[in-house]
Amino acid sequence: MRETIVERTQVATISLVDSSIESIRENDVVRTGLRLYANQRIGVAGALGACDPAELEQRARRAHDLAIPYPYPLEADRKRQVTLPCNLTDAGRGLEEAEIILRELRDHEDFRFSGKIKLISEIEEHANDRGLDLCYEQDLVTLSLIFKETNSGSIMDGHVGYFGRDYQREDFVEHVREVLEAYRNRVELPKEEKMPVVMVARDSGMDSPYSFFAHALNARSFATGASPLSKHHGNKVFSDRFTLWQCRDPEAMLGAFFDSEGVVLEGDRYPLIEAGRVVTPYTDKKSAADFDLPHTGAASAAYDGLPSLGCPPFEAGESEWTIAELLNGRNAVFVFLSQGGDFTPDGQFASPVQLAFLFDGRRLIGRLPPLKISSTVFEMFGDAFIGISKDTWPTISNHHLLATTMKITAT
Amino acid sequence: MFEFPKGLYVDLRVEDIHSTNIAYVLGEISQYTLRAYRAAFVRVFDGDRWYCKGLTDAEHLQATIDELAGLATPDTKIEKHPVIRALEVNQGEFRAFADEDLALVPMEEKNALIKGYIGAIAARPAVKSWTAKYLDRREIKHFISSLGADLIFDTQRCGAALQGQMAAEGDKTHFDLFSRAAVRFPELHGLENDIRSTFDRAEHFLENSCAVEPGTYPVILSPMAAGVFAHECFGHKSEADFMIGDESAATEWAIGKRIGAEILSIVDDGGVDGSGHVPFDDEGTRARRTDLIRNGVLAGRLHSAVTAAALGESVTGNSRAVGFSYEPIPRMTMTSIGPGELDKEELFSRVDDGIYVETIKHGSGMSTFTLAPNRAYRVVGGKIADPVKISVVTGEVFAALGDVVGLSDKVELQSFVGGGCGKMEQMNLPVGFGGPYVLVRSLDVR
Repeated sequence: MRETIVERTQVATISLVDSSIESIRENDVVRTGLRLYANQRIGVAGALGACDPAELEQRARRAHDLAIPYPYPLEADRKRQVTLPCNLTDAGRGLEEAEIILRELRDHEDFRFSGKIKLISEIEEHANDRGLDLCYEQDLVTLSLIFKETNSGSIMDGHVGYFGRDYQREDFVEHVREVLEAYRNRVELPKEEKMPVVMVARDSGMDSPYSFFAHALNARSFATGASPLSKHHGNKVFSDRFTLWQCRDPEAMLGAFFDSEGVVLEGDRYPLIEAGRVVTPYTDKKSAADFDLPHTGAASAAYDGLPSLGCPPFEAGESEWTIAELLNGRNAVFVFLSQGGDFTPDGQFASPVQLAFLFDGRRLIGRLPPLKISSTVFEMFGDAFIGISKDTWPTISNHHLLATTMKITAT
Repeated sequence: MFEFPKGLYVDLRVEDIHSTNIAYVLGEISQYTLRAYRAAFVRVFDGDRWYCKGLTDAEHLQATIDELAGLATPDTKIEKHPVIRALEVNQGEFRAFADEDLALVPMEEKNALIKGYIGAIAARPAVKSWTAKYLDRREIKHFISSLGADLIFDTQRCGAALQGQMAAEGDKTHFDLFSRAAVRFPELHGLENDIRSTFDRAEHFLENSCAVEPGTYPVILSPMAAGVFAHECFGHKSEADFMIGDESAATEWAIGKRIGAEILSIVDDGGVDGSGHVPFDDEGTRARRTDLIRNGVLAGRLHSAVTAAALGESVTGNSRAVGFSYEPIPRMTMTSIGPGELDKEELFSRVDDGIYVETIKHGSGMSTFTLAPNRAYRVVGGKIADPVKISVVTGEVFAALGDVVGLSDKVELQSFVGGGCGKMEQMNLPVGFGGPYVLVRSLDVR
């Protein structure tokens, strides 16, 4: 049996330096992978750019001779194509847009801007000769801009961005205005030792509030007793209001709806923590079989690599309330830029916050001095957990806000 | 060889890449990938903007040059442009590893090497889940420019990394890692004792570590932690692109300004063997040693041609791209703190009640820098005492640079495989770092 993986990424990148366009860059990269399966073994070969199918097959056959075991059934008899367009795809229009945006940004004379505007087109295909035929196509626009005050000696003072498929210039400009206006307004850190903390509920990365779960819900760590959640399998240890999904909904996550073994989840989601109860760690086919766990479709692989267990995108279940309703009249610390924090293995958390705003649930009131936040994972998502907003912030993004109560310390 | 359009600067780099990734997880092979490809990056500059393209079809370079030139506006005086005048023009073939090319080492030997180390971690009852990896990457770059640069050079690095997820009674868990990188394959032999020693210490940490009492402490950084401190706390601020057009930054970061303790010196040098080794950068500039801080005084910074021209300084060999899809920007190479005069024991004896940070998970640096320790210990009466679990060590950058009050007399340089430095969109750039043991008077520990 044979399986092919094709990834094509076209990116037009406009680089902004000191509020001017410095460069325009184009990339168009095709990656092709071929997997051969026979006798419960797998062989993989890949090519970057143009490839000779016969030569690729020959290399995959040689790889198969290495006798790497793969005793799992292949996905079969599923055809699905998802195409998600974007309203800004043309590189020429992107350049015009960059020039317009820069004119708007230059109105903020007390700030300088640098960063990237990218127009991205991606195609991912995963097909095999057992009837699997998956194709995900998306166009995206991303604006990732750092800003510096003109009298600042820092590398950066903050960032503003957009990541999505429905770019609206006026909304982005208004978002920048709101952030900069709040930045200009210095406010005192409230005297409370603990107070609500609000952060963007990013799905992955070091600054994701869910980074602890990348390790703690890894099937190998979990099943071998090396995760702090190992002993809590099936138990309720977090708030009723906290549900964590493994999520491959392309509308929500801006990524492919299948994993590297071609697995498609029902509803594109799998619950890992449900209403505070630890349901299951995330698994690929191998770890699910090895540890007798539910298979959640969490395989990852490079185009030319063997599929293996990888951390999937997470999504926390949103509440039925807006962030203003969740805060219920209380002011919160809005964590805007926080680098370098971490969890200890047993779940203690601490992080410096380089840029935070005082936030009332509707608007950023003003810039707080640098501070530190601390908690434990069991408090953050347990008794102290306030909820995930049903609204997004900024409204132009697809990011919901996470609110919890944490200890606040001035630096 | 190429027809360069008049009135424009053009450079191109063709990259021949060979990389290996072999991994075992809990006794079974999970990765066995050999990747070899040729790709290229072309830049055209018209004095106002750069027009760039990354391509996997390196046979069509002339067509790409012509395509990008069609977007640009020729300037008959382009060669007098400050950016172009800042560029070095080097020629020649500089293959340091032609006879020890990692691409010539059979996969079977690489596989045997990493399999041979599995026993040092797999047999430990406390290690519940483990991964053993062999990784390598060899790059041969051909850099050509319309100024006449024509360079062929190579870099390579290989390494073994063993990760263990550990657990013990009483809900104790700990993750630890042994990683050793080298530029030549034979240097990776004979690591068994070092691996065992790492996991002996990891097991001791697992069994005995307690939560730290949050507060401010004098902190001793190991050479590895000192390297992260140099890289994150100061190194990124020495990358000159953040200063372009910024008069405040130019004043705040003026050469000759005192910014740290008098005993503190930091250098960057791409000519040193290791994971930051780049004999030439991606603009064809030869690697060199750049003093960033000399005796507490700002002495230099890291440049591309663009930043060197903007600040009226010289290129330093630090314009690096993470791959064929990206343009080069100022980046570090091998960054390290210089030695002091104390031996290690003397340095520790200066701390009555403090913290020793031995290994690091990650670090970051803005106005506040952070270090997230993996293994750390109390220091009591000048001796390393009980292990402590710490989320993060933080400090204000300038205060910390001024608070360096002791340095040991030997520098250890660290190299790595897998991971690397991230900056904006360009992640996992190979760098190295190091230093002596460094005593900082006061840092916040949580």
